[in-house]
Amino acid sequence: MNRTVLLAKTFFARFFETDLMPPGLPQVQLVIWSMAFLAAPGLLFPMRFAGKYMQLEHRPALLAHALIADRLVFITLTMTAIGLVALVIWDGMFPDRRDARILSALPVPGRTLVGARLLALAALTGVFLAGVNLVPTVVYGAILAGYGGAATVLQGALAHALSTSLAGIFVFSTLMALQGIVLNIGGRRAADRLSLLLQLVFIVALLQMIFFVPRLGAMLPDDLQAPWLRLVPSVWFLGLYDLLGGKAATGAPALAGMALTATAATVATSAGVFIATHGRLTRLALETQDSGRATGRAVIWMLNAVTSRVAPRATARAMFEFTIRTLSRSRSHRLLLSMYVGVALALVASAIVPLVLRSGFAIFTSPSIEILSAPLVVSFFTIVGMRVALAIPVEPRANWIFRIREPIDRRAAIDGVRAVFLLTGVLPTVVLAAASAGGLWGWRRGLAHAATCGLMAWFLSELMLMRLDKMPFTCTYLPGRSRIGTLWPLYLTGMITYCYTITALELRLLPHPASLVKLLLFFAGGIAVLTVRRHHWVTTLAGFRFQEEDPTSLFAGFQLSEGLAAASEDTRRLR
Amino acid sequence: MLEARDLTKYYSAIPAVRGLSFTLGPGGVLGLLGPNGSGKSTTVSILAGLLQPSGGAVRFKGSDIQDDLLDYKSNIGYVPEEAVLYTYLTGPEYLSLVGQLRGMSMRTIDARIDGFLSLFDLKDDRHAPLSAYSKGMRQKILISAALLHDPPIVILDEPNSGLDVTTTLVLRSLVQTLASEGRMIIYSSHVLESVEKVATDVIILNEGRVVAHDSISRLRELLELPSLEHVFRQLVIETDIDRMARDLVGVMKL
Repeated sequence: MNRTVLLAKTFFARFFETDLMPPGLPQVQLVIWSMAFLAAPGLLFPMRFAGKYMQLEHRPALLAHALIADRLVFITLTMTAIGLVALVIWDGMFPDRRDARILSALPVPGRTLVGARLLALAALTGVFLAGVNLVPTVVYGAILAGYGGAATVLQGALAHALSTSLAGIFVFSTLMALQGIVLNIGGRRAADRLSLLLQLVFIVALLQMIFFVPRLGAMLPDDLQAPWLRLVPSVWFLGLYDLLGGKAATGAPALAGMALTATAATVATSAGVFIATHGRLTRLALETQDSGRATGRAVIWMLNAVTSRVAPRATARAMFEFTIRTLSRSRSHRLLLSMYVGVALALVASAIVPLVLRSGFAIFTSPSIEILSAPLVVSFFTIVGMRVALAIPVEPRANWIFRIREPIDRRAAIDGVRAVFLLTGVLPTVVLAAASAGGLWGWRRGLAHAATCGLMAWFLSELMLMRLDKMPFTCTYLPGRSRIGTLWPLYLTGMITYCYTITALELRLLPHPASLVKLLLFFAGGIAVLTVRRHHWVTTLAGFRFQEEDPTSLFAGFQLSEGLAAASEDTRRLR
Repeated sequence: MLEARDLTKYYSAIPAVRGLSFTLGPGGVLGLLGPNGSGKSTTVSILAGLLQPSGGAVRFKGSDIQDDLLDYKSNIGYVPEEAVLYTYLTGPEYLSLVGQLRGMSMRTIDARIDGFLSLFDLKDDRHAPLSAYSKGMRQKILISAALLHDPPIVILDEPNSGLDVTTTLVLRSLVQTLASEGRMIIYSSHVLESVEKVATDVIILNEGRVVAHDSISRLRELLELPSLEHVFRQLVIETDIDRMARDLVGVMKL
């Protein structure tokens, strides 16, 4: 096999090697999971849109507008999906220390290494673009032509395929160029620090696109001519879509030009940065150690001060420190948490920004569900995100230290974890609620809101830790075990109740302090009950769990070699 | 002939290796010894072509290796200190990747992989990903990868790491056999006994400088010491080892 292709295959597989996934998981399976997750909306939308167009068939103006807005949905969806893919494989875009140490000792020319990685990146983008858009291209292309959105079926399909693909390539190459520039200017450590911020910003921006697209679609002029359209990248690609479809609006050619120019510029920049600096980055990877940044003295002092108060017992203290240090230092876990926080921020913004656009800053003069719910939305996603993160291991092989000295006082161990939730989930909620409501409507409202949000966040934390039978980050993880596929209506109802129903209740009770106090006492009672039940349950456990049950059943039979691998590993363990 | 002339390496302004020179002919085994941070790994990385020296040169068959680094790399087999591997690959897949990147024919690769796996008792694990391998098993894969293309130069950086006693003894004998066939071996290790058994010459590094370079027997003669360990203690270790051990026990009782 050609060496470039061989290496490209190796790099492609490495993209999916992440701490978020268990080691040894079949790469094909990961790709299929990711693809299914990202492609699902694109598979559902064409049929849904077709039904809508059927209803609007006799209302041409509305139909024309719907055709424009829905195309924007597909473009935004692709940009979001490819952006998320780029964020997940973030560490694999440029050569790292492992690549450098393995490959630099081999007689492989630099151009082969560069070509192979670029090929792998292109293949990855292509695979995901195809996965997200193949079915919509065929189905929606035909629907579009049928309702007059494109001149012919072929043009409809072509317009869909090209515009969405270029939109995805634009996002991917923008992120790649950004990382390359940061790596070269600030080095790996700076890139690591900045990457988290960039990832959070991009997650929020990408999710914002989803929340704002329907509103954006409604605001779009049919002729695609308005100065503000030039500021929205997804709309550039809508112009291209319109132009390629053969029924271009007046403003489409200019927007299409911007889309093509922007895509060409970002692809050239990312490839240029990559080619020009590959050798330098490889050398830097070899000459510098993978060292984490040192924790500042002030941070250590603060951590010690907090620890001695929130987790005074030795076991609780140990678990508190281990949990908080892992959450703050593990890149994968920080990325996961940032995704949850990103969703929360996007939800808050999507609730508040349209109100501001419609009514101006007058909306802040009196309490409303949109504003009051913000701290609860943030706390909900932060706490749930932390609970999910606890289940994902860090260095699973290192869990021997816990296995040989499993805490006898399991109650204290979970109390230590609870302290982390109180510090990082509940305290910020209280501060945010007090600052927002206090700043806007006076200290009484601030106090009431802080108490409500704080108690709710505490209640949720207790609920999340209710059946925790693992030490954080130490148990092997099988993504397929998640029951979100079946339980999502329950989770969604829980989220709506926690974030919005409680806020509505608080809003009704604000003029009646006595009733509000009763409500808060009810929450406090709930916390006490949950705490007692958790303590009781954890003491009845035979021990903490360090391995998910039935580790081989997930994959045996999916791929013959993986089945054999699992069997071989079992044999080895038995020996 | 492999020759290092006045090798120097700086990381930023910090010197890691200063003025290291040696000549290694066919059949020679050069032992590299030194405490942590002495510059052993940097030296090995330069000799493996991973790092460029800040000063001096490594010459192979009379030419600076930097003139045709790819050609030089095709002549070396390298076992790194850290067991860096693509852990989602199986052992044979990794070896096959390395063999193909070295331009070997699939037939040769398959035959040699089969041989290495059999001899290293890894055949039963051939379908398991490297992430499921123990440290010793990974080390066996790294040693196989280094020898896969029958290189004239073999660079071993802590090759005994994680190996069981039998494999350690096999490796020692292997090094001697490879040398007897005319290959040049560079053997860096903390295990003084291993180096003493296999090396014809030894370089002892301390704080980036060469503190001794000679054959082991001559070093013992010159310093009038009975073993390499005594030579090493004399030249490198400034700490009173017994006292440090007593202090450590003292700390345990604090």
